[in-house]
Formats: sequence, structure tokens, C-alpha cells
Amino acid sequence: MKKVPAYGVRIMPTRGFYLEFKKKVKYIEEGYKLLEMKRDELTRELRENLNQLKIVRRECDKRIADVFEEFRKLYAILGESTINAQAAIIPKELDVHILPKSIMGVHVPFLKLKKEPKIEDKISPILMGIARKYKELLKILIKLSEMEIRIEVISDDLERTNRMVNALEKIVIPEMKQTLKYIEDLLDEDMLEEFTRIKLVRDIILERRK
Amino acid sequence: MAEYPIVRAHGMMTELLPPNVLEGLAVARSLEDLLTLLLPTKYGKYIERGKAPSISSVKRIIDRVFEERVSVLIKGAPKKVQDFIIVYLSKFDIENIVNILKFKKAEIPTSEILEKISKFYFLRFDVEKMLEAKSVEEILHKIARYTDYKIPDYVIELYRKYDSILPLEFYLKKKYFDLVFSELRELPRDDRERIEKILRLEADIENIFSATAGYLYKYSEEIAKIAFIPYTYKISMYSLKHVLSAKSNKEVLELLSPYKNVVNLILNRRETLARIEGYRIIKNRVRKDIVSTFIDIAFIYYFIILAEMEMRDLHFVTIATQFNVSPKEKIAHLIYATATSD
Repeated sequence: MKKVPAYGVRIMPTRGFYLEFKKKVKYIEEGYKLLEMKRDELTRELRENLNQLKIVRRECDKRIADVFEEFRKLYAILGESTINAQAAIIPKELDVHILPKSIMGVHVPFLKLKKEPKIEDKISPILMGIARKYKELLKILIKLSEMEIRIEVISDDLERTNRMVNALEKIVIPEMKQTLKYIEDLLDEDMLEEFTRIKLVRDIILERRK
Repeated sequence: MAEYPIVRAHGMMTELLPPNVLEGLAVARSLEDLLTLLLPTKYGKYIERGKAPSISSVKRIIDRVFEERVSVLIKGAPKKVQDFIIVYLSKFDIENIVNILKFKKAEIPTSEILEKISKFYFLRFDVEKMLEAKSVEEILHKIARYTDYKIPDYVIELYRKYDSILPLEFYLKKKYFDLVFSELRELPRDDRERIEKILRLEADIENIFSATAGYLYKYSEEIAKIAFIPYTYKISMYSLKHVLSAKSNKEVLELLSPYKNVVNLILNRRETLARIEGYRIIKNRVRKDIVSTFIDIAFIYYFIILAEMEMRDLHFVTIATQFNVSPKEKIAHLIYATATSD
């Protein structure tokens, strides 16, 4: 009897076991194909997200630089007191809902801005522009964080899937096929032995009849 | 007799920093550099050497010089002029009250608020008394009881309805102009007319910001209605109200055409430069009018405005230096920049 292989099944060289095992190999091969498809899809998704992230981050960096540049000047013109007083009254009402979204079975977060600070009718005219810019920036930052988390989750899963695909491709499936071949050989040997034995018995019987 | 403060104003006018000096200050890379450059000027006597400067310590030096200049004029002026100057300078009181209202609304501790508000000696309102109040409503009650700025019920209702200090802020600014114009009536006619022009110019600039903000960001109709100061100069109330419902930038520019530069900057979302441009318009007007004024009370007012602009420029340079704003940008945001002087 062969020793227990990597996939943990005790091998029995019987026809029943052979058929069962063959079914298993086919099943695992299908699983491997699906995992391969998942890997390709995740890779595509990751690449797309990374490209998008690059654009959003560039946009975000540019906006942050613009808003801060404007804010520094406004702060210097209006003074600490006016700016702080205005900032203090902006209601702290940011409410972000995190919804799960499935990409090939991978749950990635999808952020939905449910409630944002209401600045209309609350901000002095000269500060309204910068307040709006900050509000827009906040939305981009939420989008950016959503994409970063999504990329992290996808890349983690991709790494796991890739390991599984490689293990199946390089170790499990070849080893199973080898086992299948081994059982096949054993069964063939048994069959040949049986055939020879029957032939011998037939010859003996025929000899006796004579 | 108003001759004494007029003569003193003439004397102090020569001590105002010329544009090229202010531009030189704008090039400073640190607050230490800024103070070193300020040493040979009027500000030098308040600079304590050996102490690491902070924004608030430098601002205090700048404020002390402004306070000193103004106090000389207030002390030496006859009662009516004195009253006018004090009421005119209550713009800093209004700024304080608005900020206190906002801080109180946000439930900021009193000790923190005290650190953040202006403390000019000439301020009329007892800030500490205001800060004793536990809520915005209580402050409004104190304002009605101790000052001339009683806020009418319909404005307080708007505050409650929109849960916003903005209606109170608009009303206080409007009331400030009411009181300044009422004190102005006590001055001789020639001076009154000259000062009135500048005051109306100031009101116009404030109104432009309110109108364009209403157009760009859509304030609620009820709030927009009380946003305007009725003492207009080059723009009518009719035009201002129409800006709120304007359909395009072109229409806004047409309605506010006397201030095309400022409006253009606001419409292009460059509010900081627009604010400076507004100050420059006032400053340039003052510098133009001052030529024809020699021994008039208006000269005192003109001097106060120019001193105030200098203070604003120095405040800007101080904070901008600490925030590493480039010298080029700092110069572009100076009210007194040489390129903008007429």
C-alpha cells in the first residue's frame, strides 16, 4: 500500500476506489479552473482599482495642495479667532455607512456617505468657498480610503487564491494524477494476473476433460 | 478742538510703513526675521529680544501699536469725534461678539474663548460678562441689556429656525453701520460727506461678498434678505437682491459692475485675493481723498483706516510667514503692495 500523499487520502488499489478517486480528481480540476478564473478576475479587478487609485490619489493630492494653500492665506487674512469660531460651529454630522460588495466571492467594503455636515446657511460669505472645497475634499478622501481598503482586501485574497492555484497546479493535481496512474497500473496488473490465472485454470480444466 | 488729533494724525501718518518696507517684511522667512526687520520701526519698542516669538506674541506687538495710535486720537479728540471713532472701531467688538456666539454655540470652554478673541483697550463690550453666559440665548439677552445692539425677535427666530449664527452675524454688521452712521450725523457736514463715502464703500464690499455667496452657494431666502447693509454707494439694493437670483456669472458681473475686479475674483473662487482687492479699493480711495483733506476731522478717520490696513497687512505677514507661504504669494496678498498703489 502506498504511503499517505499530500492531499491526505489513504489509497486503496480497488476499482471502486479508483472510480471514486477519478471523480475526485475531476472535481478538483474543475475547482482549479474556477480558482484560476477567480485569480484572473481578481488580478483584473486589482489592476483596474490600482489605475483608478492612481487617478484619484493624484486628484486628491492636487486638491489637498490647492485647498491648503487657499486655507493658509485665508487663515492669515481672517485670523485664528474667526477661522476657529467658524470651524467650531460646523455640525459634526458625518455619517458613513460601510456596505459589503462581493467581487468573485471576496467581500470588499463600499462606503456610502449617508449624512454630511450641513454648511449651507451657517458659514460667513467669505468662508463659504473654502468650506465647500473642504466638503468636496472630504468626499474624495472617503473615496480614496474606500479604494485603498478595497485594494488591500483584493490583494490579500488574490495572494491566497494564487497560493491555492499554485498548490493545486504544481503539487495536488500532479500528485493525484500520479496516484491515479499508480492505481490504474495496479488494477491492470491485477487484471492481467486474473486473466492469466483464468487462462491457466481453463487449460487445466480442458486437460482434465481430455 | 479737533486740531490736536488732526496734527497728531499727520505726525503718525509719517510713521506708517511704506509699501516697499511691507514688501521687505513679506520676504522674511521666520518670525525672528520679521521681528528683526521690525526693530527699527515704530513696532521696535514693543519687541522683547531673546524671547522666541509666536504668532500671538507678534500679533500682540502689532495690535499694541494700532492701539497706541488710536488712543492718542481718541484721548485728544473732542467728544463728538471721540464718540465717532469709538463707534467706528466697534467693528472689532462685532467681530468678537460673532466669534463668541459661534464658540458658545459649539460649547467651547470659556478659558479657550478668552485666549482667542481680540483684546483692544478701546473695545466697548465687556467680553467677560458675555462669556459668563451659558448659552447663545443668554448672550443675546446680555447684548440686549448692556449694548446698543439689541437683536430683534425676527432675527432671533431665524437663528432658532436655521440653528445658525449667520442671521445674527448679518444683523450685527448691519446694526454696526446703523450706529456708525448715526454717530456720523454729529460731525460737520464736509467731514460727514467725505467719511460717508468711505463707509459706504466698506458696506458695498461687504454686500458684494454676501450677494455673491448667496448666488454661488444659495443661502435661504429669509437669511439672504437680511444679509445686505442698506448704506450702499455704487451698487443699489435692487442690484444686490437681483444677484441672488442671477442666472449666470455674466449677469452677476453686470449687476456688480463697479466692482468687476473683486467680483471676478470671487466668481473664480479666489476669495482671499478678492478680500484683499476689496481692502485695496478702500485704501486707494482713502489715499485719493486724503490729498484734499488737510485740517479736517476726516483726516483722522483716513489715518485710522490706513493704520488698520497696515495692521491687517502685518497680521497677514505674521501668520503667512509662520505657515510658510511663499514671499511672492505674501506680496500678492498685501493691501499695501507697491504694484497696487495709485
